[in-house]
Amino acid sequence: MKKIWFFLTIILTLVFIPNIKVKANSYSFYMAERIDGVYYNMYDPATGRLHYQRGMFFRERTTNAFAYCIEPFRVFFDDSTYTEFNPDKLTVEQKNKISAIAHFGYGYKNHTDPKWYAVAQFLIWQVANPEGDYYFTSYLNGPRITLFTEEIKEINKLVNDYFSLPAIANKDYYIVDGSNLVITDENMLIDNFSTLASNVKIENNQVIISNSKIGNNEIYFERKENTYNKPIIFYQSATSQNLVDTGDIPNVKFKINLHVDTTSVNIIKVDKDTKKLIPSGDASLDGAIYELYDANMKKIATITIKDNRAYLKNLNYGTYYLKEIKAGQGYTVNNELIKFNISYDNKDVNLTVLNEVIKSKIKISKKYGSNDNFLPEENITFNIYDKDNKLVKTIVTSVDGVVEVILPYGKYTLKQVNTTDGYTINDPVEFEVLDGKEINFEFKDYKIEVPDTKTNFIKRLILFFIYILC
Amino acid sequence: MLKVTFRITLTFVIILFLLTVVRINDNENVIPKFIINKLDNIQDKIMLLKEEISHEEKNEIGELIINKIGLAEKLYALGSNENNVNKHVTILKESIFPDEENSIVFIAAHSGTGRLAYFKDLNKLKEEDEIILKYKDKKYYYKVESVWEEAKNGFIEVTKENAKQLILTTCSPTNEELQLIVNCIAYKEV
Repeated sequence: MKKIWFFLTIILTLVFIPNIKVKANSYSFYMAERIDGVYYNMYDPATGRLHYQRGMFFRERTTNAFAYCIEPFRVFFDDSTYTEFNPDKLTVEQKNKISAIAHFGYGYKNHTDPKWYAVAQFLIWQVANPEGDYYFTSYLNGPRITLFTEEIKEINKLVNDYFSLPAIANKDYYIVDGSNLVITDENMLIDNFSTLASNVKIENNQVIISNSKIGNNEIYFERKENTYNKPIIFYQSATSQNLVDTGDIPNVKFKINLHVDTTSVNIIKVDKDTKKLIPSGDASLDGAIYELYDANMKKIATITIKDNRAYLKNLNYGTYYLKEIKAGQGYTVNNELIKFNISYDNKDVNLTVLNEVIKSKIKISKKYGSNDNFLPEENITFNIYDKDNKLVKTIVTSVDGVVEVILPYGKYTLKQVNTTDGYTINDPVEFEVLDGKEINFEFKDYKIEVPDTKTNFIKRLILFFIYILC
Repeated sequence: MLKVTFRITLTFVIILFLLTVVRINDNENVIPKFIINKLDNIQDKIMLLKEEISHEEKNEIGELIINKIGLAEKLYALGSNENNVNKHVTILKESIFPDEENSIVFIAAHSGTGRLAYFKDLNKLKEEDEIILKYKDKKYYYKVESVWEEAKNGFIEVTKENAKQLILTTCSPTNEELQLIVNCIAYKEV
């Protein structure tokens, strides 16, 4: 008995397994509902034959799913056996495009009117056999008419968009830490995509990226076409025209590379004459004020120099201009417009800015005598001290009794060191270099004769009497 | 005629008398004060009468005003007979007048006693005291910058400064061996 059961099982398995397998890969299609008012003519240049037919759906017998014909000049027979296949006679490009038309045709979003089936079928024929001439007619084998212009345009756009990437795809972008990036897609496609990045928003054809981390960030975008939740299948039959149903086409993906870095601008203030950080005289390099402008000369910041420096952190990439509007005390304003660029390959900019100290020529002329006979006083030494009584310069008059020296902004004391015999040393003179004007000291040591001004009574009396007598 | 002869004779007698006294003592302090004052009064009255004769002939060019010591004296042109230390305050010939560049005006006058001792109180001037010099319809205002005394040797030594300058000088009222010098700097003109 057991043996009988065993053989029965073997026989049944051998009988049914092939049938089950055949049934899973076999399909049967039929000519389903007609599409009112739609007639096609299809001219085959290879045979010179003109085919014509009504607009109608092809549907699978079991699932009733619709399908499109991909062999326009071959006859369809109801209930032919179909199997899935890979249409090798079509190029990859043709297969992809036919798939896209099938996807965006009837049943895609609001494409629920049967006309979308007619339009999609029309476009699929054009791709499947581009040699043929396909057109709508007003009735069966009637004259050529133009139909569904807008619908054709829409499906073509959807297909073309599907095969196009946004302009931003696979590009590198560089931003500065703390700044946002807003990218507009010139191809107007980015709204079809989504991203899993939480700091990225896509709206109104723009990608807005904020709070990015320092470093290189890869941001992925994906266009999901999961309207049908099934793949597109091509069907072939030995006795009838081949078909394709609708389904989802592969998702489109791309990424952008976002490079986030820090930037810095170091401004170092230096004395123009000495090229040093130490100011000249009593002047101060600190306190200088700069205005920062962007490339459009729009003021974006005011910067004050402190401890010879100013620092700007994370200034965005771009071109900038720096202009001094106030110099430190004792320095002249530098009117030079300083241009600099910050870019991803020039993130840290060092600027050395110069100020020229206010200077004055000090001219000393030393003479002695009286108006009738003033002589130049040669070899007279003067010491010049700063406000802290520190010796700054020692100068000596020339044979003309003249000596010149240039001093920077500050307070000074001029002290005469020696003198000509018979003359006293002048008192120290304090002076200030304030505005760059020449300062002249003309030391004229007058030595003049004065009358005897002591009242002598006897002399006065004698003169008095002489006066009376006169 | 007889009265005139008598006055002249009396005058000479008095002179001889006084010269005798001086020769003996060689010190004018021995002359009684009342005599000095009397003579000064007489001298002043006569001088005033003489001054009324004609100001124009005297070449008056300005006035020196020092309110602090109650001085307001006319200045006379260089070369004028009135520009004499035995008559008035006197402008010394080295002066450069205040309407000129690098002006420095030297003025000397007697100290001591008597009507001619215009600068008898010059030593009372201190720094910042005001002095006015009228010259050619303008008033030049000076401030005392420094006051000093130096050895009396017939010369004074002054350094020209970078401003209009006025130098007042006289014999030191306190020490016959010294010369008093007041250095003033102009600060405005009207």
